[in-house]
Formats: sequence, C-alpha cells, structure tokens
Amino acid sequence: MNNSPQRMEAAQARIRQAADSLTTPITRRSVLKGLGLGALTLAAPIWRPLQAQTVDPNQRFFAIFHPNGTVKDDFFPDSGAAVTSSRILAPLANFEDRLLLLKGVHMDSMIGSDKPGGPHMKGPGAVLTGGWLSEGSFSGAGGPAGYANNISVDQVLANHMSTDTAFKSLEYGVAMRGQEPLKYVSYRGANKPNPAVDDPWKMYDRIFSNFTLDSSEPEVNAQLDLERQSVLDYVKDELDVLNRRLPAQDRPRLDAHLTHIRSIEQQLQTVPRQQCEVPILGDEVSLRDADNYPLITRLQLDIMFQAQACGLTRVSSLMFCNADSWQTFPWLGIDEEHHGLSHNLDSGSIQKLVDINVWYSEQLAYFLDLLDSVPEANGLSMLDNSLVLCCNEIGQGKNHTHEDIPWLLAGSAAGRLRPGGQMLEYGDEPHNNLMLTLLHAFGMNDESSFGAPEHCTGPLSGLLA
Amino acid sequence: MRHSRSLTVRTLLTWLVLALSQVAYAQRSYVEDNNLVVPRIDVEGYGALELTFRIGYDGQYLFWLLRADQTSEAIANSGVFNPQDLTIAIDEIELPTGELYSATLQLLSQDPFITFVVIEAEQLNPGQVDPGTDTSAGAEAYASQCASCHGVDGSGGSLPIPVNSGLSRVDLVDIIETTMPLGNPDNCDAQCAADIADYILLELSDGSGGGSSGGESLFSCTAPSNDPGPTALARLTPLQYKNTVRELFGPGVNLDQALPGGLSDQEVGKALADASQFDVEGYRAAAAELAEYVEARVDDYAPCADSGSGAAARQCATQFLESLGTKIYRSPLAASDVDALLTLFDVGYDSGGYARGMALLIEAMMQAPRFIYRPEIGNSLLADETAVPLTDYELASRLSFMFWNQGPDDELLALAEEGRLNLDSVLAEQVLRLSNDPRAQESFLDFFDIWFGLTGLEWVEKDPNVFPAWDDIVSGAMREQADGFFSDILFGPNGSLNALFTTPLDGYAPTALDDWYADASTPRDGLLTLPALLSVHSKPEESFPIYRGLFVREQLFCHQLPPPPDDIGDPPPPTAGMTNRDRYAQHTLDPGCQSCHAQIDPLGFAFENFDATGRFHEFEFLGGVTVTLEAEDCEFSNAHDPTPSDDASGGIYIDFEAGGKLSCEYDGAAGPHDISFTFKRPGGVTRSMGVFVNDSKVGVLSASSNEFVTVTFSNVELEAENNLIEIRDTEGTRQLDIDKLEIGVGSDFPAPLVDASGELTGTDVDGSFTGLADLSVMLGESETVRACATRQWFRHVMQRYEVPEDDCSLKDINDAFRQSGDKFESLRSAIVNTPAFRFRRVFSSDEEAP
Repeated sequence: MNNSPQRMEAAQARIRQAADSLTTPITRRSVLKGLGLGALTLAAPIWRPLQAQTVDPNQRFFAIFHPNGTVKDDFFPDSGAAVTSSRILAPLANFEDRLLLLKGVHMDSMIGSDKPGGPHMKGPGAVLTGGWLSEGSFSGAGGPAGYANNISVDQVLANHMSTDTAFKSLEYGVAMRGQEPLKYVSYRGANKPNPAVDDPWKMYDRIFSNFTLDSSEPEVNAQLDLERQSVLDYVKDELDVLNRRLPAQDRPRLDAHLTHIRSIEQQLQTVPRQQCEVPILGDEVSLRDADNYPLITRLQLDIMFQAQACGLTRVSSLMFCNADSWQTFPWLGIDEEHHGLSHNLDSGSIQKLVDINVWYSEQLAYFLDLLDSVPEANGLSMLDNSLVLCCNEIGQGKNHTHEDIPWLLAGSAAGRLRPGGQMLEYGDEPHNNLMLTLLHAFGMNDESSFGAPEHCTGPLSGLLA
Repeated sequence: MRHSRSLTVRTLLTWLVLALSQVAYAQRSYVEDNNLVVPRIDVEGYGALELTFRIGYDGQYLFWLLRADQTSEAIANSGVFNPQDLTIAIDEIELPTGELYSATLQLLSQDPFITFVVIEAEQLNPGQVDPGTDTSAGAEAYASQCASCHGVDGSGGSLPIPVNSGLSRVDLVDIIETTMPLGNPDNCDAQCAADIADYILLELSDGSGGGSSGGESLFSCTAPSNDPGPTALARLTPLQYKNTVRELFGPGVNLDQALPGGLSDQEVGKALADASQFDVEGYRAAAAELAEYVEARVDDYAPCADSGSGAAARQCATQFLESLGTKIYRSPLAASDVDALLTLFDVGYDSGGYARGMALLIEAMMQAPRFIYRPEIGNSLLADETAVPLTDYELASRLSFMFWNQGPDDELLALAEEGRLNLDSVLAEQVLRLSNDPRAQESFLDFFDIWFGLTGLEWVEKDPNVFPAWDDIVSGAMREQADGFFSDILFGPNGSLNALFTTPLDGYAPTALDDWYADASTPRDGLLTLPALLSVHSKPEESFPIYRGLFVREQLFCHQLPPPPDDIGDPPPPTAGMTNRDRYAQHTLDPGCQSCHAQIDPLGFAFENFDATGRFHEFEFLGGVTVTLEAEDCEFSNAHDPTPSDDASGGIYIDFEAGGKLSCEYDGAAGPHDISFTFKRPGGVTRSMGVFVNDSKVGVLSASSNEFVTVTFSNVELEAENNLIEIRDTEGTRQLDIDKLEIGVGSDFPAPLVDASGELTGTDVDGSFTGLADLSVMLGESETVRACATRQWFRHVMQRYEVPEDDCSLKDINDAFRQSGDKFESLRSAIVNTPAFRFRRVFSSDEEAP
C-alpha cells in the first residue's frame, strides 16, 4: 500500500526524464512491435479527409466517467458560491474559472420500467448516448439487458472531428471489471460498445508502437509498407468474399470488421504532430492489485494526454472503473468496496465516499494541469481548447437516482463555452439537451436533436458563449 | 393468529422506526398471510391522513391499525388505539368486492413522525370464484401482462413457471396483485388481479390443481421439428483463439500480450459481439507476432526446406496452404484462395525470401475472417425448406470447439475430407474420443465455471480487515478444490446432477483450506457449500444474501427476474447488532421490492451460515459492535427539561427531581453485554446514582470531577428486546451531564444462532428448508433445475440463448439427461444429435442486409 505513491513518483520522474532527453527527431516507420519513444517529425499525411462540416482542428473532447454516483451535499456548492467551494471539488480550486458545474440536468432517458437493466447498468448505457439499453441476455446488476441502443456523443464528435487523425477515438479505463454492459459508455452505434482498455501497457503499444527512432532505412520502410498493405488488402478481400456468402443478418458484423481494418490503414497512414513526446511507462504492474490503482490512473491519464498532444486523436474517454464498481481504495484507508459504501447512510461511509470523490478530483486536477501546460497554435492552452466532460452513471448511490447527475465541464472547447467559475442551475433538463449542446460547441450547429428524440427538447440555454 | 401476527409486525416496526429516516408516500396495500397490509405511510407535516385501500374479493374482514410511533394514542373515527400492542381495533365489518375504503387517522399533534402504519385485514371467510364469471377482461389482461413469461396457455413459457399451482382463488389473487407483473406490481391492481385469477381458474386450469411441472411439460415440443433455431456468425472467444493457436503452432507460442484484451469469456452470447477496433488491432498484432515466430523457425512449419529457387518455393507454399492452411481455415482452400495467397507469398519472398513469404501467409490468414469467425453455410444441396445440414467441415469445427474449445485436429479434418463425419456411428466414436481427451476436461470445467460464475474467482478481493487470511494462495486452493470436485462430477463414475448438489466435500480439502475444515461438524456437501462459490457470490467485506439468492434463482432454476426499480428508496442503514435478515427485511415488506425479493432473499438467507470466504459460522456475526443509544431512545421522568450540555460534547444536561429517572429502551440480542456510560457531573461533586437494567441494579455511576469519564458494566444479561436501562436518582438532588450510553457486544458474545431457514416458492420442489443441506437436496430433486442444467449446457455449446423453436432439441437433451440418471456425460452425445447442432436455418445469400 505504501509504495504506490513512490511508484507513482518514480513513474513521473521517468516521464520527466524522458521528456528532457527526447531531442532526437524521428520519422515514421512501420514496425510490428516496438517500444517507441521520442519526438516525431512530420511526413506528409497520405490520407486526407473530406469534411462536410466545419471542424476547428484545435478543439478536443474528453469524457471522464466515475461510478456509483456522488455525495450531492458535498459535491454541489451552495448557490452562488464558488464551484470549488464544495468539499469534493475543492482540489480543483486552481481551475475555478475554467469549470462549469451543471445542476438540474437529469438522465431521463434511462428511466422507465419498460427499459431493460438495473439502474447501475442503465446509467452507463445512457450517460453519453441519450438512449437506453436494448433487450439482451446480460444479467448481473439487475439485468437482463443488452448494449445501448444509440451512438454516444463522443463517437458522434469523433466521426465529426477525427477524420484526419490516426485514431478516431481512444477509450481508456482503470480497473474495468464486472459484467457486460457495465464496462461501456462509448458506443459506435447501437449495440456497438467501445471497450475501455484498462491496461496502460496495452494502450501504449496500441498507440505508440508504430513509431521508433530509426529513420535510416527508407527502402526497408517501403518494403514493409508494401507487405503491410498487401496483408490488409487480402483481409479486406476475404471479408468481402465471405460477406457475399453469408446471410444478410451476419453482414453488419463483417462490415464492422472491415471498418476497423480501414481504421488501421488510417492509423498507419497518418503521423503524429512534431515534437510529440511519448510517455515511458516503467515496468508492468499487476492490474488487479488495488494498491496499483493510483499508478494505473496516472499512466492512463498521461497516455490519454500525450496521445492527444501528439495529434493522434481528438476524442478520448476514460472510465474510472466499470459502473457499479466494487473498487477499494486502500491508499485512502478505505477497504470497503465503493458500491456498497454508496448505499450506506452513516456518516462514516459518507466521509469515505467524499474521500473517494476528493481523490478523483485530485486526479482530474492533475490531468487539467497537464492540458494547461501546453500552449497551442491558436494561442490558447490545450485545456482551453478542450472540453472535459465528467459524468456518472447515477446521481447518488444510495437511491440510484437519475436526477442531478454530477456533470462537470472543464475547458471551453476553444472558447465556445461561456466563461467558467459558476454552477448553472437548471430546472429540469434531460441530459440529451446537454449532449446536443456539446455537438453545437463542436461546430455541429445543424444538429437539432440527440439520442432519443422524446428526451431532447433543445440545447441547454446559457451554456455556450 | 391475530396475536402472533401482531407480534411479528411489532418487531419489524421496532427496527423500522430506527431504520427508516423518511418514507415518501403511502404505498399500495398487499395481502400477506390473509392480512391486508398498507405499509409505509408518511404523515410528516400532515394533520390528517387518509388511507385508501381496495378489497379484492368477497369476505368478512377484521381491521386494525398499527402505528409505528408509540406516543400518539388517539385516532379519530376509529376504534381505540392500544399502545401496548400498537393496534387500533375496528369493529368487524362486511365488505363487498371491489369497493374503495378509506381509514382516517387524525393526529393530535404535528410532532409524532409516523414512519410506518400497517393496516391488517384478517379474512374471516374466503370468497369463492363464481363459475359464471365473465372472463373476457381477465383473458385480455392475461394476454398482455402474463402470457409472455407464463405462456399463452399458462403452462410455463420462458420462466418457466406455470400459472396454476393449485392455489385457492384468494391466494392466487394475492400473489398476482402483490407480485405481478414481477417487479412492477402496480401495473395490475386488485381488480386486474381478480380478473386474471378468475380467468386462470376458469379457463386455464386443467382441474388437476397441480402446477408442478414434470420434465415433459418443461419444453413445449408439440410436434417433431428439425428447426435448428437461429444461427449467428460466431467469433472465436479469446480462449478459443489461444487454444487454436496452440493446436496450429504448438505450445511454444505465447500471444498473451498481443491478444485482444477487451473480451472476456464469461457471458453467453459474448462470442457473438461485434469485433471492436481494439479487437481487430489485437488480431493484427497477434498475427504479426505469430508470423515473426514462424519466420524464425520456418523449417518446423514449412513442408520443405528452402531450396533457393523461386518456383520451388512457390510449390512449397502451395503444399503449405493445403496442409496447415486447411487447418487454419478449418476447411479446404479453393484454387482462387491459393492464388490470392500465393500473390501475397511473392511479396514476402521478394522482400525477405522463403521464410518471409511463409510468415506473410500466416500473418494474413490469422487475420482473415475465415479464421476469426466460424462461418457456417451448410450443404445447400441437402437443404429442405427449414434447415440445411452443416458440412462435415463445419461439423468438425462445432465438435472441436464444443469439446476442446479449439479448432479441429487432423483426425476430424480427415474424416470431414472423407465425408464420413456426419454418419451417426462415426460421430458417436468421435464424441467418445474427444470426451476422453484431457482438453475436454478443460473445456467442460469451463462450462461449469461460466455457469456458476466462477470465472472471476482469481479477481475476487476481500477486505483485509475482515478477512486477513484471504490471499492468492487461498483463492488458488479454492480453484484447485473446485476443479477437482467438478472433474469428478463431470467425468467420474458417480458424477450426476444430484451428486453436484449433495456430494460431501471432505475429500476435496486442499491444505491451504485447513482452517475452513477445522470444525469437522461443518456440513459441507455439494456445490452450494463450495468455498469458491461462496466467495465469488459475496461482497468483499460480508456475505451478500441477495447475490446468493439470485444465483440460485437465475442460474440454477433459470428463472429470469426483472431488474429493480429505477429509483429505489433509501435503504435502511446498517445498525450494529442487526443480522442480514434484519437488514434486508424491508425487501420483503415493501411492495415495490417484495415481489422479486420474496423470491430471492429467502434463498440467500439459506447461505447465511457461510461468510464471504465460505467459512462456516454457527452464530450470527455480530461480534465487537457497539450500539450508541441516542436521546430519542430514552425518556426522562421527574426531571427538569433536559437541555444540551454547556460544552461541545453533544451531551445532555439533566436536572433530576425526586424519583427522577432516565429510561432507555434497547432491542438487540439476548445475552451478556457490556454497558458503558460516558458522563460527568456538572460541578464535579461526588455523588452516585444507581444503574438498573430491567429493574435489577447493576451498579452505580460516580464521578468526582467535571471531566467526562466512562464507566462500564460488563456481562450484563439482556433480553432480545424491550430492555429497560435506567439511571435513577432516588433523592432528586442530582444533576447529570450524560454524553453517551453505549451497549457493547463483546467479541466473545454468544450471538444468536444463524437462522438459515426459509421457504422455497414458485418451483416444482417448493417447501421449507433449513440451511444449505435442505436446499441442496431440494435442488437435486428438481425437474426445473435439471431443465435449467440442460438449458445452460445448450447455451454454452450453441453460444446463444435458447428460443422457442429450440424446445424439441432441448427436450431431447433433457430426456437423455434424465434417462442417464442425470449424468453430465450424457449431455455431450445428446446435444450432438439435435437439429440445433447438426443443422442451420436455410437462408438466401441474395437477401438484402438489414
């Protein structure tokens, strides 16, 4: 338990050291696996996007999910008070004027006895989709249910914004356990969940392994490019041939597979921005040991930050555990599991819930600090160019309420949001309205509805600049 | 009956007063034990309260009201409130069916906060169903609200619970109104319940009155059918992927790092989920790693050595594709396949020679959909209008993935090539061969692990403060124990469904679990008592009856319960000294919870002898807790109004008069307690006051300074409830500043015996039980549990849930299972012989994609 902070320190030190020593410019080279690191110079992107709607290339989107609800009294400040005057949000005081807190925005779309799934299942299926879970066979926290019935807002934004990046979006997790579909907030479409990968070393390989320092063998690179493309062409042809032999019902599965192959091609054909620093992770540690949770958190936040700083994507999401999480927090002296605590009413349990959420606020502060440290081409910091949306599967754990989801917005999406430093109190708005407002913040002004239309009455007033 | 009923309710009330801080509204009445109960009426802030309830059937009723608070004594427009048993008697009245009645409670003051009011109606003469009753409304209501689960004819349907279990009309109405539709009983009110009950009794009843379903009626296979049910395109699970790679390339390959990590093997239907971007990238990384592996040792895999000649190399590659290529794709390659792959070979050959060419073939084929997925097209020449038989190669794959969780081996492929695999005799031989291979053991253990939810055992964590002994060695030993036991059940001579539930586990006790077996008298028989199972279906810090009950209901009976409501009320906070049964009592009182939890919780309580790591406890775990009595638990008499202490302690200052008393009531558990008082004497004068427990003096409180001191009286015997703890000032000259009154339960406190008794309902083996020993026997005798085992097996092999069209296949499997004496080995050949396994539905590849 005690060495986690030290490990974290060590990892941070390694990251700083690596950043200092990375002065060698490198070029892209496709490799099969690698432990790449370094700053990268640009080659001309091969693949060029066709863009229908206006995209501000400086804008970025992050969604951060927390489980099991918050403690309302300690999360929401008094009306008119500073956002960070509440106990839970206090660690974010340095970012007071960059934060917007929403109250009175309810997750209506998850509600209804005709909608499958228990409350902890319904929440993650609805929170970014504005929809609900389909019928399905997953039991668990109150099942049965399937996956969400709608595309999530991050994926709509990814389709819109990440047309020229290596990854359309990247989904991170920390300690993802539990049954389907508790583990997903990001959906490419109905029944198409994006897994949140909770292994930073896997995420690292996935994101950065195609880059190394070696640029000395252009002929080798050309040959590798040809091999690689030949293999992918073969796989694409095979998908096409098989697709024509299968019943119609199976074809969407192979079509989805084909889309992913094309995304791989896009990854291979785009390159990171120059001066991209790649984090160094250090030795792998056990993903299941609760003591490692802080370290994994830091590494995932670092990778999520760097992948965007490197221009590899413009849309990311991170799940702090699956919904209904049973995570323990031994480094905070909390050995009870989170979900159980969230149903307790005694002051000791509530203090522990506050402690957990304060810790999460500290992690957010760390992440916002990273974003704020990067000045970008339009003169704003990376934080100002970003919109970081913090969300939860429910409002409070003890009664599974869908009301007053603890929405917290950081950054301004390159000036599209109103100035921060306040809590916006709404009467009773469905969260689809928030999602729709987000689309508008990212230039999708033609959109008039999001998610289930019966739960969308129009954009939230007063949220945009 | 009236008396005992009242006592029960009174006990519940006592803790509910302490437990419920607020209840939002009056809830629907329900009937229990022929009593009509209107629970939970919040009258805070109201001067008067109107209770409205419906009577669903004819009869005479006796009413009385019960109130949770003990202070208010008068009720307007009603009988006399009796503060002793908290009842209000109402004169006997006659009520015709279907009318609305209300009772009015007039509160005398705003102060009392009634958290709980119970209205009970005792039925004096049960009503009868009139044969001439019009059932059209009932028929309509049944069709819309019941048929989807219970079947249109009431025979069971998907649940499978038949609607008529020989209940009286009264009981039937009760059950429907209070529990149906499951999870949402508000959708069917008293009238609706009465209509449906009449419909069931008059139109659906076969007159036998027996709803206990025999094996015959569990699957409604009315006419033989070769409909194989839906066939969806399966994708290899991670385990299947890994095992298949081992079969293809030998045990030396380790792809753990490269494999897609987003999928678990746990859930049925998971193999059918669409591949995610992350999965597809994982396939690519794994294929690349394999290619590199093969390139480095190409001689081990290629059919001939590198001769240095391009033409010879191509010839070799062709041979390679015919042998290993066939095995990778699990079917022979067409000439066009070979051509396309040779083109790829050339690319690799040009850049890196023979080995590179071979490697590129591997890299491409291992990413191809024919490897990643399991396409089943069937032999269209032999199709009828419903079904098309699988090709021999497809059959080889099904067998191999079912028995070994991997692609087919050379023998299966050879039989497929000869076209003989579909012959019944050949198939039977292969079933035997595959069964007897160690790989089958792994795959069938996998079946049990998934069925019983044990795949997550390695991830289970326990609260080290509560279970310091828990570590990887212990969970590893539990895994070893479970595997050993399951292997004998699956493959041993005495292995059967009944043995699964009743075999003594003494023979399966790894050294690391010695402490679990320290008490030789611990009854530990069968699956339910397996420490691995008990640990998985628990919380980190405590046992959790809900999950355990759900496990029995959903996994062993295959009953599908609906989810809990969206916004549940505030749960009772855990009060020290409460058993789990106490804590979850609200589940079975609150109509919103009751309909489902009445089916879940009693089964969970059967497990209460076993803690969250599966250790046996004869006594309730209440050790080491301390109860702090609050001021509201106490009364003052002959004292000036108590005021808050003049410091920040939160204590109360009391100035007694002659005969002054502080009296506190305590309900807990019978046995010796430590009782401690934290107090001071304002002014610091040494004086003592007597402490009495249930009228016996246990000691005196004495303080000599103005500082708080704590005085403890040990081993004070307390009753289970209604203990009166008093501080008496006989002279009336004393002041007391009391901060805390704590009632501690020492670690050696003889807590009450665990109550693991309960009642199993809604099954074919209904009855009362005490603990897991009884429940296990009942499960082992249940036709429904057998049918559920059949269903689970079907789901596991077919990787999908069953549909009504599968009923004939299921019936065949279930019959074979039963006839074998419920031997699990019989399931293997039984499923292989079903239409579901041998056929797929016909389709046209020209149809439009949805």
